Amino acid sequence: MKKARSLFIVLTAAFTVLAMIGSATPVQAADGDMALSDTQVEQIRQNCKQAQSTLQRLQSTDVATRVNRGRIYENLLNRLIAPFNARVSFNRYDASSLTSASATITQKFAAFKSDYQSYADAYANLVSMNCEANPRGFYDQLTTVRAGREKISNDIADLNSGLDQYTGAFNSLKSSIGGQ
Amino acid sequence: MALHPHVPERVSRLSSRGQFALFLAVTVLVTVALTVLSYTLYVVSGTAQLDLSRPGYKQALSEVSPTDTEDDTYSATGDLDKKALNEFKKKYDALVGKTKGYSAFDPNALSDEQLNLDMSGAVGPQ
Repeated sequence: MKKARSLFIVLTAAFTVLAMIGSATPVQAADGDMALSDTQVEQIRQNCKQAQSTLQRLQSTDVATRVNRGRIYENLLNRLIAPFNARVSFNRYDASSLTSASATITQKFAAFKSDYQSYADAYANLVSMNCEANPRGFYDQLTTVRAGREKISNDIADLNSGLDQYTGAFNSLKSSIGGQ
Repeated sequence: MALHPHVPERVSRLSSRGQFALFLAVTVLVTVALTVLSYTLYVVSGTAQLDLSRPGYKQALSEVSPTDTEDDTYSATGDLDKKALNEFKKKYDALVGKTKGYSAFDPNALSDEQLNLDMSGAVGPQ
């Protein structure tokens, strides 16, 4: 009993410390620094505060966009596509192409959510860092955030492609049902 | 004398004040551990990034479209006739159309020009 209690206390303390370290770990900046001249570094130092102000406004818009888009994709997948696929199967029609397209959309949506999470972490570091004290680090982090944003943009393009694929599968099904 | 068969004798030997202090210490420890666990899950799961109740996100809250779930549902059972297909298509097109109205995270929004950072003459990555 005594050993069990001691073990419990030690494990709880260790977990607490690890959790605090884990949640405080900063996102790494990109490798491969841009070669910046002293003039450019000074220019960044002078304008970075204003840039951070612009970035903060954009951050707020990004979150709203993420919530709005996420809600639409969730509703599409869970409230429309999934029940429709089930209904197609229920009526004994071939739902394989619909299922394949919806699996693609689900996969792309998961990638979108994951990539946004990484992007948001990097973005939060970008707007909170002391850019005047570390302009090179600020620009490196900005490069990382740009890459993350481009990735999200590509994810949205992939999602649109997946939705087009599903539309094509639906139209094929509709034609086949209409022809019977 | 032990208080209870399952209470360790060491605890029983403490004064009532000592037992109360031990009880408080364990309670605080468990509370701290659970709080840290909750916060870690809040951050790691990505919920923190979508939490519009945080300070500074009041404007973002006003930009979020209200939920309109009644028109987004579709029955998983029933016949698959022309009416059912048209109903699905109408709701599907309506939702897909909504995505067109939102930003697609254009990378140009973070360009040097947009952020007023003139980097002309940069050497490029090493």
